[in-house]
Amino acid sequence: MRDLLASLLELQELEIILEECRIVHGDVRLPAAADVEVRVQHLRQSVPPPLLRRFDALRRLGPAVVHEQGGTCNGCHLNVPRGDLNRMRRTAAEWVCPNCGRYLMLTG
Amino acid sequence: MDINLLLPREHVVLAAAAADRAALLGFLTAPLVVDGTVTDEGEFLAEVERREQQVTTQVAGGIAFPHARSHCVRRLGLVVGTVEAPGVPFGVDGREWCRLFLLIAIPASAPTAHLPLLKHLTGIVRQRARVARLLAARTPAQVLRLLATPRG
Repeated sequence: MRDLLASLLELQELEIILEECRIVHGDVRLPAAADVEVRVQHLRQSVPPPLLRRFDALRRLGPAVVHEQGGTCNGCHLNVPRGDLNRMRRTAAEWVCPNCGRYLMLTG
Repeated sequence: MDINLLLPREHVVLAAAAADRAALLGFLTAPLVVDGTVTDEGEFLAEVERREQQVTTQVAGGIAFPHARSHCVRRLGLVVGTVEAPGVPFGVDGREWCRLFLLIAIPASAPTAHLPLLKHLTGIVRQRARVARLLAARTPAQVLRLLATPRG
């Protein structure tokens, strides 16, 4: 799950960069941005479609993947119950914040 | 967008005496460190540099929007800086020179929080007359007035 979420985190970062490019550079096509687009396509193909659909739905509302820090979700800033975190670490549960539904990259 | 909340007078650095990009980014980051927006200057500057290497934030007219998302950023922050002509070499290859800089600090927990601000600022710097007035500004209050409204 960690590798998958690392891919989604990178995908999120690169998609935000492309959004920034559209705002800052407008219609100007930069070679570096084209490289980012290629990497985005590669990452999108490497993620299972159901996860990608959920990721895209979350991205429409803001960040889809956030970090957990000290038992708190960095997206909604609410505590994640320790039992839930333990189940996630045992991979008995999906790494998703039970409060806001965002993908949760666990620390450690 | 109420830019006054994001841009206290201390966040306007006029005629910064920087010889290169690294020195300039250090000048611009200092106010963010002083007011606690950025908790680790070195980490933030490394992230800004990394972001700049991915796709440059420099646009035509000698303007750049350096920015970075980082865990060491506690809240959204903005610093506006100008340098005297001819400017500072800013592009990745060092060939392009810039005189107007809009540095944005973005918390890692809110990675898209800056997009409305970026839209607001790019709308302003596409107005050549406004950029000329920004570069000629002699007080932070003048800069604030010029950045506060999308048109004018």
